[in-house]
Amino acid sequence: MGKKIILQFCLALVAFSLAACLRPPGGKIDSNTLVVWEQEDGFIAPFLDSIFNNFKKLPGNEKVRIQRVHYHMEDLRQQFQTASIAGSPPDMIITPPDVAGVFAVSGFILPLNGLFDFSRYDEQALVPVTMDGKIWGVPSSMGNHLMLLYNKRLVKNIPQSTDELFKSCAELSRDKNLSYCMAYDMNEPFWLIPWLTAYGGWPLDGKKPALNTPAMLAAVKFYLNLRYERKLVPMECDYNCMDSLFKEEKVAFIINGDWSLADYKSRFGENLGVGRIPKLSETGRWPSPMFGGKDIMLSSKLRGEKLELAKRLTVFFTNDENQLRQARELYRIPAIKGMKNSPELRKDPLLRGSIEQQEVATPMPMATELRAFWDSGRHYLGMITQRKTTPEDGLKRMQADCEAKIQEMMR
Amino acid sequence: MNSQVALSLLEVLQMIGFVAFVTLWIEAYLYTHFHYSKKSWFFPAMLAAVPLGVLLLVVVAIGPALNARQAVNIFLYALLAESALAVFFRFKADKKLALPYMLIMPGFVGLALLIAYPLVFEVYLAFHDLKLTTLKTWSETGYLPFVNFEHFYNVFTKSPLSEVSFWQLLGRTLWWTVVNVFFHVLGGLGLALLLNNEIKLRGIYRTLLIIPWAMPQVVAVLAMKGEFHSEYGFVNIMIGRLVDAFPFLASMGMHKVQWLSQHPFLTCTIVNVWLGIPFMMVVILGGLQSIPKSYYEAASIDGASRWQKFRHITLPLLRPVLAPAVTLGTVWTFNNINVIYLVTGQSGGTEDADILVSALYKAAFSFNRFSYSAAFAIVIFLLLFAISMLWLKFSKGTESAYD
Repeated sequence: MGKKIILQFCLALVAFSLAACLRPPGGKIDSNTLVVWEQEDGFIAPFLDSIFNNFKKLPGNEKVRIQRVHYHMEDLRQQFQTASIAGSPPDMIITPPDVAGVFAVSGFILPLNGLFDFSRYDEQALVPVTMDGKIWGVPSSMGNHLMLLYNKRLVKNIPQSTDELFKSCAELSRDKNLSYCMAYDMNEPFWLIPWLTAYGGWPLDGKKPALNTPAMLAAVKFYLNLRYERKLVPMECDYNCMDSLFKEEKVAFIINGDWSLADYKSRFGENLGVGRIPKLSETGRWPSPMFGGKDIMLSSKLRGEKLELAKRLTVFFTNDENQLRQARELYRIPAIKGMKNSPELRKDPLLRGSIEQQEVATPMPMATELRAFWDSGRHYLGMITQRKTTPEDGLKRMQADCEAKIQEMMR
Repeated sequence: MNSQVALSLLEVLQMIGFVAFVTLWIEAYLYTHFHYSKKSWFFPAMLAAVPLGVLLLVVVAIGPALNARQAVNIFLYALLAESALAVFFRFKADKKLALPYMLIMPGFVGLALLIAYPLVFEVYLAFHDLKLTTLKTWSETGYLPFVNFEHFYNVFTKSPLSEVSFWQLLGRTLWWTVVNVFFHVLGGLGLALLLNNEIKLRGIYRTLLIIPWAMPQVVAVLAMKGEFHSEYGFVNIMIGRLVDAFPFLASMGMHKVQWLSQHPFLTCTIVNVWLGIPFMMVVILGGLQSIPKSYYEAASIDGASRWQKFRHITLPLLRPVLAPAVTLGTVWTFNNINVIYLVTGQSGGTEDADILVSALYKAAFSFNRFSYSAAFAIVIFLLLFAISMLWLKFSKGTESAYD
């Protein structure tokens, strides 16, 4: 009996061992399978899947498999780094370009010069993925920029200046009994950039941080004024909070990016208004948000047939037809040269508003140093807006910390 | 069935098959070495077969990338190792222990691969310099600059985040651990004593009290984070209503608080205390129910008060249950990154809520300081190891209640 059990156990082990050697029919699963990681909101997934399905229907692509894996923005960055270090990264990632600098320096992504015809793409869309003459991503949209969105049920016209905005907010408080007028993520340095530019500043001077500057000081004081003096924006409001407040019509205005347009459109329909962030009355300058877009980056591990397949998918993803479809369905600005000027796109009020804002936005530089600014900026901006330190002291410490982080990164 | 699901299942099957394959070879190796080590053909057969088998496996696994020199090296190392092992089995190994060794060895090898390898790699990283600018060279050539104890020195002298120092983090972590474990035990003990009485609907109370522990921690923490929002959270809404109903409370200083931004550490502590009580309650309740009632009856006959019974019967007999639970609770709380990370997230200005492990996580994965983080992790491990050993020694947690 005992020997019989041992024999059965050994046979089971052998059977499982043979299973380990099994391969799916065809035996070439690797070269026909692309793993794509993305960080889009949930409602974008059907659009991505439909593009991938259409690609698989093309002649010769019958055996192609595309595995789409979703991550949140920060998770995608961290997971892609970890997977790359471990030697098993995904084949492609679709992400905003602010991670490109870090991935390029680490050797995680491929330089794409010579692999694609970049003359098709808008030159401005290539700036955020170009470093030292090399291009590291294929733009699938241009934008990812902040703009002013408003609820037309609460306000009829978009304010053209901050004075008009404040007037509008006073009326809303009086007539509609709104506790707050506007919501946006005040702790996130990306949201500070438009106001910083309106005061004539920029976070980097070449490759050095420029954070302890008069423009930066004025921008953070403007922030404090919005929050504590005018009480136009709620306390402790992160991205989810501002999104909920706008959707629940507890605020009339929100400063958010083009990625949110399709979602708000489905909620508010014709009552959603889009336009430029109002001119800063104090300086007479229009804010210029940072823009990048969404880019497709290829893992540096890609070789041979699989690289060819990834190239074909990238070209398909950014062909004219899919770019127009993306603009119509997701309200994203096409990255193809000249396409944003098509009358059809300009006719749509949401796209028109988004394009008008993007045209005065500043392209995000592909600089690894920017990573240090996001990390330091987030921490000290949080301290300043929570009044844990004075603006002057906070900016001094932000500058020192950012310099130390860059030095540590690059030494 | 969806083809992707089928392929995923196949991958799982392949993984099981791989484990079975390795197990099979481990068992075959041990069986032959235990049973045939005294045979005359043992040495020549094993010294030829084992190194060749290892080489064959490596060739199949790596393929054409393996060059001749590497192949010769692998063969020689395998030959050397097998020579030592064959001598051991021939002259030292006891055949009677063959079955126990064969049973534990797959698990031992699995643990060694899952724990020992990462640990060794971590030590390697801590003494070398892996960061953004050396990653590329390392992945292409395998070369990393050796930096001696530099990262260990940096752990104690440079902030893993922006400004907070290692010593501040250590102090906060110890405080965090002590406060949390104290309230876990106190709350758990109180609730367990209540539930240990013959009360109606005891099962329902027990189920309700276990819910925070039973639900996924991410859900529980994020739900609690929402309740601490300054404008729309339950806590501040209740404070507001209380102040409206009893205005004298305002004159006593009671007002709405920005919990998440002004008091992130206190908020994290409250959330973690709430999360940790059910576990301690379940453990202590189990301990209480194992104490024979006759002890209490005898004490009652002797005229002992409720406090005396608790002090001289309940507490000593709970010690064997409580000591390991407190040790576990200490280790878990010391290493609890979830609550801190989920409550404060990436948000700015909340560095004063970070403890050692959350700072370690951010240093490694937000700031890409890989080697620094490896050294940091080793320091944390040594600290935790020392604390656990001291606690077990002084609490006499490994002794039985009757020693």
